[in-house]
Amino acid sequence: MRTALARAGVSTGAPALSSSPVGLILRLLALAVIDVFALLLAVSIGGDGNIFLALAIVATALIVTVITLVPGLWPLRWMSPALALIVLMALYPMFYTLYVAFTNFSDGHRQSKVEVAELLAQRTYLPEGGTSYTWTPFGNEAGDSYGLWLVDAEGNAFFALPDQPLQPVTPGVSGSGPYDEAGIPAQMDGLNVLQGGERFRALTTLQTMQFGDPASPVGIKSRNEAGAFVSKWVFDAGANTLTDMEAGIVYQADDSQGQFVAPDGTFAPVGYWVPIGLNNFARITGFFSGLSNFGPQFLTFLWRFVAAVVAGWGVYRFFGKTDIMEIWLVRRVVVPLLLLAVFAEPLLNLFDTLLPVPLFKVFGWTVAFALLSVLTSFSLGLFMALILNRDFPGVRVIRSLLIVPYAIPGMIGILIWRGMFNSNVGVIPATLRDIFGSSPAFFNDPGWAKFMILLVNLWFAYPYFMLLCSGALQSISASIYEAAEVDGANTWHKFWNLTLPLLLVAVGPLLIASFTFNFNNFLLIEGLIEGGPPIAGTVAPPVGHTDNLMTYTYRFAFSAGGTRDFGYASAIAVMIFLIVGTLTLLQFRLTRRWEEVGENV
Amino acid sequence: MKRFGFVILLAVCLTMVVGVPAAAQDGRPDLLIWADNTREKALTPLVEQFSADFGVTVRVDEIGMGDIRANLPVAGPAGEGPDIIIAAHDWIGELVLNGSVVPLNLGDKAAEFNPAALSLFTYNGELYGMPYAVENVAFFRNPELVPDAPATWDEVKAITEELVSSGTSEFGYLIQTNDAYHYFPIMNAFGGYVFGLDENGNYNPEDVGIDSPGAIAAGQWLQSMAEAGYLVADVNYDVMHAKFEGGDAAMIITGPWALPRIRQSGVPYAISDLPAGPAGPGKPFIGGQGFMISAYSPNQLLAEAFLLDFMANTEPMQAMYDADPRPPAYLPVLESLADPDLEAFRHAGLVGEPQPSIPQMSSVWGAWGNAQQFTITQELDGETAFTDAAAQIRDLIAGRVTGATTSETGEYVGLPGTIQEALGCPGNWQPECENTRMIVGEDDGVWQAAFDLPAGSYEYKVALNGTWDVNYGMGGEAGGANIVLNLDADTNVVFLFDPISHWVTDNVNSLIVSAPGSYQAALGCPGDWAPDCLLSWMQDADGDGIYSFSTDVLPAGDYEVKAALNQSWDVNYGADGEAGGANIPFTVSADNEPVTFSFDSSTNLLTVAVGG
Repeated sequence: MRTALARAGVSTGAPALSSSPVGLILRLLALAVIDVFALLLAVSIGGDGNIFLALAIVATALIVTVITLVPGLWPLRWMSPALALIVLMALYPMFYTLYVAFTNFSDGHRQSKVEVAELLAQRTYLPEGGTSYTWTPFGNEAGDSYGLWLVDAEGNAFFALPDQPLQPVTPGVSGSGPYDEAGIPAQMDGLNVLQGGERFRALTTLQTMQFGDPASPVGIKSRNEAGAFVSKWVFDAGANTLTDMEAGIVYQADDSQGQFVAPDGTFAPVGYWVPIGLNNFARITGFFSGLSNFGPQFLTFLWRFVAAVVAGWGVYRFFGKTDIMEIWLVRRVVVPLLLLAVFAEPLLNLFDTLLPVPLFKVFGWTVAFALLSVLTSFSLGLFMALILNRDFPGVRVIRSLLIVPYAIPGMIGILIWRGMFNSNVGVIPATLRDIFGSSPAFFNDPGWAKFMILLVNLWFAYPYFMLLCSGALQSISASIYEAAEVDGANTWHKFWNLTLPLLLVAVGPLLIASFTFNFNNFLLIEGLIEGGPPIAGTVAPPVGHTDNLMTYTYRFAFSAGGTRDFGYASAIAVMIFLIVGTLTLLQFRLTRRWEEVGENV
Repeated sequence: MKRFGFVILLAVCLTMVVGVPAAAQDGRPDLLIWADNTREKALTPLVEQFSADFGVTVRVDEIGMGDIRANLPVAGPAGEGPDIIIAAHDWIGELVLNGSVVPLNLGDKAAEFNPAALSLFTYNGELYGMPYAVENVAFFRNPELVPDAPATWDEVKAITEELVSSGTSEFGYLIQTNDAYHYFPIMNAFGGYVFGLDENGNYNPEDVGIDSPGAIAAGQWLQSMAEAGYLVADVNYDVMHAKFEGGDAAMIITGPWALPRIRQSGVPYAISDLPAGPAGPGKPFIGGQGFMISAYSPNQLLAEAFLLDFMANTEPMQAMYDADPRPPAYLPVLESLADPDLEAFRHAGLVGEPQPSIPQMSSVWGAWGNAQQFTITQELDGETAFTDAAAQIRDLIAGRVTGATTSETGEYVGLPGTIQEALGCPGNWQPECENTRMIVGEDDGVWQAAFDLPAGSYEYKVALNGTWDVNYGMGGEAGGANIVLNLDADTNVVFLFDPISHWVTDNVNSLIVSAPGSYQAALGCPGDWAPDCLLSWMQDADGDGIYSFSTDVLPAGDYEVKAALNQSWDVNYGADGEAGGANIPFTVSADNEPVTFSFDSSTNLLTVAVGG
């Protein structure tokens, strides 16, 4: 089958390229537009210093071009939009995150050394003995010649033209035309005083101009100051130093931490970003610090566990074949209780020591939430689908209405639920109070908060599974059920042994996708409850009972030190990717088992 | 055919690469302003007028407040940033750290601005923005329920009590559950503060006052309000306002931004100064809104002229006020407004403190608000809540984010000594080295650490909180002699420190003997017969080989006990000093009779003495 398709692809693909000249030209034009777009974007983005994104875009464009132009790859053309998007939206962010994880990219270290040097070079100061003037601009009508009327602090006035020494002038006397109250003339040396719009329009040019003696030129620093200002910060790339000219301090660039360091250990005002190797990952040990403290306990648990398994295995080997195991009570009650007794103590010990560590609480809740949300929404969705699978009046309307939650934008729905659950103004607690006299504290009790999150998630997620299951149910052949009925199966048997396994074949991979999605569900947790209620007695960062790994990462990365630390956040994201990736791999093994079920049926 | 295609492709590419950027460049105005939704509406007609009058193109882009702050350092270096942004004064620390804004010289215009507003925008001695509004919260009351403004927070509590107990209104004073901004005036009235000041009068991030005695006192006031049921959980900004506007809450703290909705609701209201506390008047945070100039702007001079020569005039400033009625920072507009409400806000703000603009402030809000929530939900008492919060904040500011619990790190006990280099510390005698940190036992409060040490001779002490200020040596003496540890072979050494007796020891220099028995649960152990519960740890501070432990908390009854070494049953001694021997019975005839357990290490005999 596969070879047949490939043959078909080659035989139809190759001629397609040269089928009609018009088609070819149109195709090439389209490709040209795409490539130009990509190139422009890459040039513009690369010019802004983001080389990696530029390269990713070029790579994407290259893929598309090659696929279109190489006849052998012709069948891939339908894949090329998807491939391009994968490169840009998945691979590039992944590799970029990985890259950032090895840098100190954070507030105070947002730009490269050269960019920071350029930024600081803009700052100017007036060297000792220099004079600061207030200024009034003059210019000609063509806008190619400018002068400045300068007044120093003592009230001495000068007129300044480019490349000419300052010329002392007398307010009210020099120049011509009506004088303003400060004695500035309307005309001077053939230039008109610039006012209103002329002045505003000239400012961009004036900002870059220099007047007076070229040896110590006068420039405009601000609306109120002109003078022989010079750069405060001078970067010497050769010596790798930044000099504060005003204070006379030389800052040595320390490329291991991205700071310019003065001899007394102080830093220049702005740092720059540099690769810092594994430092961010070393900091994450804090994230896992719970583990390091519990190493000994964990080892104890491990050897007890192994011992218990060995002992249990021995007991089973010894007694397994004997009559005593035939007694229902022994098999079903005594042995499990014994095993429980053996395992319970070390397990409880371990949990006792691990549970106070927020990371474990967070991880436990993340897994529990992902599992429970998939389980609940799939169950409800399947239930609805089964009901709606029959024909009754209004079934289509009801089906459409039930899909509504799926169609409401997430954040809006979340905010509505947030209001409805509010214990002071919300309709749900109010109703509960009317009926039962009291209402749970949905936002302050950890258990009820989790219940609320699952409930809200159920509301958003069940229509998706309802749709899926409705479709999948159609595909199950009625003849199987007839056969089952002949064999004497009741409704429950049919559901449990036929409908569910067959459904899981189709829906299984989507269940896993849903699990992964909910594992990373940031919006619901942050939008509904912001990870609250907070856990009492935790050390930094503040963490809540309903924080999942995503929101916890967010708190970890963006609450420390008062600034946003993208490098550190990326390092944590990489670690989480490893966790989620491992889980996903395990799930795929599980799917394979479902597929086997499908093949057997 | 194919070659022909390539030629077309190349030609089209080249024309467009050359042509399109040139065309795109024309789109940029002379000045680009980033403003949020409210201010964008006010600014757009103003800049249209400016453009028409002066022939300079100005565009206002609507960007959310949070995005302005976050995106400036991203878009700026890329050449796509604005020339001017609308900003809150407390962003300055972060923006300066990134080099994203430039100082501004107001020159003669400075006299037209409220000096308090200018000081808000001053950071490290330089002015970084032109303010247009200053704002602070004030105390709102419903005059039908509360005719006279309360002068102190105790009065607020008394009025609340009266209103709630008489059923006049559902709530008296109502505060948001997790919002430290509105809580600050209360904390401050009791003497609490966020950051202390350094010698230059700048906020000092090293001095966190969230757990200062005044802050604790305020926390206790909050706790008393919560315990009496006057404050409830789950109150956010909207709930607080809904209750006040519906007449169900008599008093709240809120700001001038809420005036439109309160006026619209028709509820009677009066605005007054914030009630005082033991430490003086309640000081609100003063915040400022203003314009800043981007350091990435190629048109900084034009931007400055736009602000100083155009915006800093009565009409534009009045328009800004009309769109967003916060008390103007521009004095001519402020003086022209005869609005008693704004005057009341201004008066409440006279004693205010500038809201810190140092970057460390963003480490404060979360933990601080949580402390408020813990107190109101009564999950923690006021003192614990704010003490924990301060510890979190200090850790965050120092970048110590460990994600551990306070029971592990609330107090820090380290083992400085010559063991440290062997354990990977950068040097010896470093109380702060994490590698030789001890861990407190949850059940018994005894600090322990176990390390594999190579054979050799070592010395060590115990030091608290990572400094030498409090340390213990030989015999548990404060500042005592170093403890010598001689190891003949590589050994896993267990170190122990009793925070009550201060005895420091290890399992090489002395035996670790406990007295597990049927009485241990009464001591507070998780169960009886627990050799690892060191509440029944027998100690030998004087080193004479007699280990003892006394208690007087046992209820009358018959008990049994044994002696166990090294916190396990592996080696234990019973009656007559016999290894693995019979339990030793003893009887406590009256509650709280003193009981002393002694273990003689030469005979392994455990004796129990009951009674004086």
